Amino acid sequence: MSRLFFYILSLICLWSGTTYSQELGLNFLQKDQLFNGRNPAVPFPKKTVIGLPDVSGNLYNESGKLGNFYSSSNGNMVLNLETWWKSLERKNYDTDAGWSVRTFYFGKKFSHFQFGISHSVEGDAYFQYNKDLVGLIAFGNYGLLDREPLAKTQPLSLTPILNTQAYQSFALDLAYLINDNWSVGITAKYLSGLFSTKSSIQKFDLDIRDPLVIKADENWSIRSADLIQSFAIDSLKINRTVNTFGTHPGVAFSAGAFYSSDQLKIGAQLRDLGFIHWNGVEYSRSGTTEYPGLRIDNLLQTDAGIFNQIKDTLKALISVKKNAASFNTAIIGRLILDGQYALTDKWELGGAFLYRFNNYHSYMRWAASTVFKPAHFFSIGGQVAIDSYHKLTTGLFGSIRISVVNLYMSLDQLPVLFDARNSSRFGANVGLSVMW
Amino acid sequence: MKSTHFLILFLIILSGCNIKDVSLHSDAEWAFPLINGNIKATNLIRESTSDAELIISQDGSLTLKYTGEVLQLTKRDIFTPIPGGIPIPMLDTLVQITLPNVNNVIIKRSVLNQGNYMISYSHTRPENIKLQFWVPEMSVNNEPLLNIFDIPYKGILPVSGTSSKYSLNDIVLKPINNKITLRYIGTNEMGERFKITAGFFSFDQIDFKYIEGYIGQNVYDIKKDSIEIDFYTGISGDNATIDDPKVTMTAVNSFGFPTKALINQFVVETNTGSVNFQSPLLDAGLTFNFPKVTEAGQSKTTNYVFDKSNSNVKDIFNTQTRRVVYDIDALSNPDQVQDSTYFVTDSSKVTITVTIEFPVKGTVKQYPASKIFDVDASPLSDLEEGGLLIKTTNLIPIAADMQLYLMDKNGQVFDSVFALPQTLIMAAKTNALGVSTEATIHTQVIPIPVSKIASWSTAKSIKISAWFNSPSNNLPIIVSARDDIQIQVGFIGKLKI
Repeated sequence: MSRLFFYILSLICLWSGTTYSQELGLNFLQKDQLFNGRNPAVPFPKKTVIGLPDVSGNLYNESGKLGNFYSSSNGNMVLNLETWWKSLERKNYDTDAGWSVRTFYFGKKFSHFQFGISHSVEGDAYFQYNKDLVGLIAFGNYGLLDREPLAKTQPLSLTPILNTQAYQSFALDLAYLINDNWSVGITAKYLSGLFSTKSSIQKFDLDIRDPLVIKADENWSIRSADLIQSFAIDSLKINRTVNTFGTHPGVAFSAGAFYSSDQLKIGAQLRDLGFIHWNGVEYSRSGTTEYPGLRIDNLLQTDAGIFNQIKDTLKALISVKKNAASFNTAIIGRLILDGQYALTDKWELGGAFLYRFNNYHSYMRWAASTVFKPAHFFSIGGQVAIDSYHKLTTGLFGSIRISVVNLYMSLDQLPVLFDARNSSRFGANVGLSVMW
Repeated sequence: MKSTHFLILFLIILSGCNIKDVSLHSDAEWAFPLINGNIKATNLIRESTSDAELIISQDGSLTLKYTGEVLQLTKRDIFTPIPGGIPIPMLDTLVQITLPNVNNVIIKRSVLNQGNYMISYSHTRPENIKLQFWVPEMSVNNEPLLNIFDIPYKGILPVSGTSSKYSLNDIVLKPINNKITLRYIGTNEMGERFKITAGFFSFDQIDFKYIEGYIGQNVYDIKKDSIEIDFYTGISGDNATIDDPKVTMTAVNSFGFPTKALINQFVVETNTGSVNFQSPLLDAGLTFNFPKVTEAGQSKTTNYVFDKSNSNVKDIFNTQTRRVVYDIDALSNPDQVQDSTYFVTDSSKVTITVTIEFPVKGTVKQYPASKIFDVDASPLSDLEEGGLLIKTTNLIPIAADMQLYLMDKNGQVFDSVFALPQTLIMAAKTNALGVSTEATIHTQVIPIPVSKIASWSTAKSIKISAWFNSPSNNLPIIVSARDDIQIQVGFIGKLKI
């Protein structure tokens, strides 16, 4: 089981490590930069734009800082689950991650019209856990019994949730430039799913009070497509092959509106309303298990194969039902509202709001920014944001232009640069574009 | 990719730092059940005393019963067929014969079985004659036994011959004063009577289906036997006592005459010698019931029970006991009743069975038992470290110290789980009668040291040795059929991730 847990954690962290975010910094540069996730209604800065690789990602771990669960010992970094467990309260914790890699973007602007096409690979992951689950992994059922008083009096409710998906996206952006101030745009995406896992766990109660009896009350299912190769309570094999393009098709749409004047910029966009249809399998277990060991009516007649019988019985006991399953997953949608006011030629103030939905939990974020443009080829800004987890972050963003090449980047949590161990979140975006 | 590799990657990515060494620090101790088994007291006793039969009474009480061979005496053993072969001459037309006294038996009435008789003759008369032969004391189907022979003259003298064989089967013989009479009449065609020159009566053997008459005093040898007692094997001193052992001698008799057992030997052989079995019953003599003439075909049973009230049985059964040896003969008509009518049928027999019963009530100290189990212990190699958690719920009023020996493919012990035997099973609580009233739960961990996992996983068999102990107050306890031990075994410890 611990192996399974570590797989889940690792998957989430692996996908989230490539930086990007729900961070909002680049929205304050969206008139000048061609970053991934840009409002489709915003006119291109130039007549011809080419987006080069753009990588973004975010990770949020509600249970706190990285330093809560690892420590340093003799120069080695040690993942200390006990420390982590001690830091947790009796509630559910979220670990949330998202990422996107744009491979290319090509756009052309005409007098009242512009279009763009692009390709990207995107994904997200969500993992919910609680103190008992971490405790179980950290100490085992026998060890936890000594440490957790509640475990001696009642079953533990684990109910972990794991949702994740990744997909390719081919997008077509169209925008109508109504006049010098107003423009509207839409995006249509064809999606091809790479893999998905979606869990539905109504109940996963584990009673560890008697170490000589396995007692569980379960009602859960995990639907997966091209991610889990095999699954049992004690093992998990990950699929390492890439499926054929179009095996899991989907569509998504975005729409936006943008107002721009010399002093004011206001944008609104509703992004990624869509879904992917997956053809996969469903792993499930339902019912109550109570196993006190291999029943032998006369122990004096035990035969040589008893250990193997026990192994076989345990395997059968933890077997997971597997069925073919088709299912849909929603693309995480976002509503982004932003506005900027130019105080001077070099200073702008801004604000933005993000509402993310179609995820396990909805999420909101408010950001305030200041942008400083000392030269036409260089911009830098700072932002302060707060989100629905009541986490306050301070970030930086900026861009630099050399001839037709633009480099932009954003980071929503400055302390990460100095001491990652004291951070519970991380979101960033970096990319290149060419425009003329 | 191993999970630890994922973790390393995870931490590197999260931290954004150049971290050279990352490891997982986990002391997770897992527990899961392996076995949920049961040992009934009856199975445990059967395993410990393979020579005994375990008797379960209706009230659940248990008795170990050692049974000797069935000693048997049949009619064939005491009354052999009378061999024939020598012709009895008939010197006159009436010859009286006294029957031989076989085994002190004087026949008053009998039914013959099998065998044949013949008549031989010789005469010198040149004519056809008729010869009539009969035995007045013999009859068939309530008709006197009569044989008539027509003997033709063929021109050659003397005329000699022998009749066909006539069956003796089912002929009723009623000797008078133990005598029978052979008679004949010879006549010619004109009816004139005459004596023949020579006549002989012969038979191949005479056997009896039924004999009724006087049966005198005879000693019949019944073979010697012994009963092995394995209850005390492996123990010494006063480490096992049986509260009320019993020895029972059972005779089932269908002979129709009184019989008395002659006890030539009845001893308990021990490690150091032998001890005589003593009882006033033996002194008085053991006689066996028998059916009366009117009850022919029936069997009568006689039981002699020797217990602590009428014998030294409790004293002579102890940890030194190895076997009981007995040599019994049977004496017929012990009182020599002269004017008696007894009987023997063809199927008459007497069987004598000796049983020794140990009610499972008493005390034991360090009572040993062991059993070897074949195992494939290779799954142990999946363990990192830990132990076996054993929980026993014992309703048997006996505790057990145990040791587990690990054996290689040649059956050689190469290690033991404990340095010294450990008490893994605690005795159930008992009432004043020694009957268990409440199970005792005991939990213990058997460690599997890291350093021994590799060697223990090569074990091919495990010898479990147990030493049983009744409560230390030395009061006798009673083990009943409902008593059992529930044994739960689980693993606790770390697994290889």
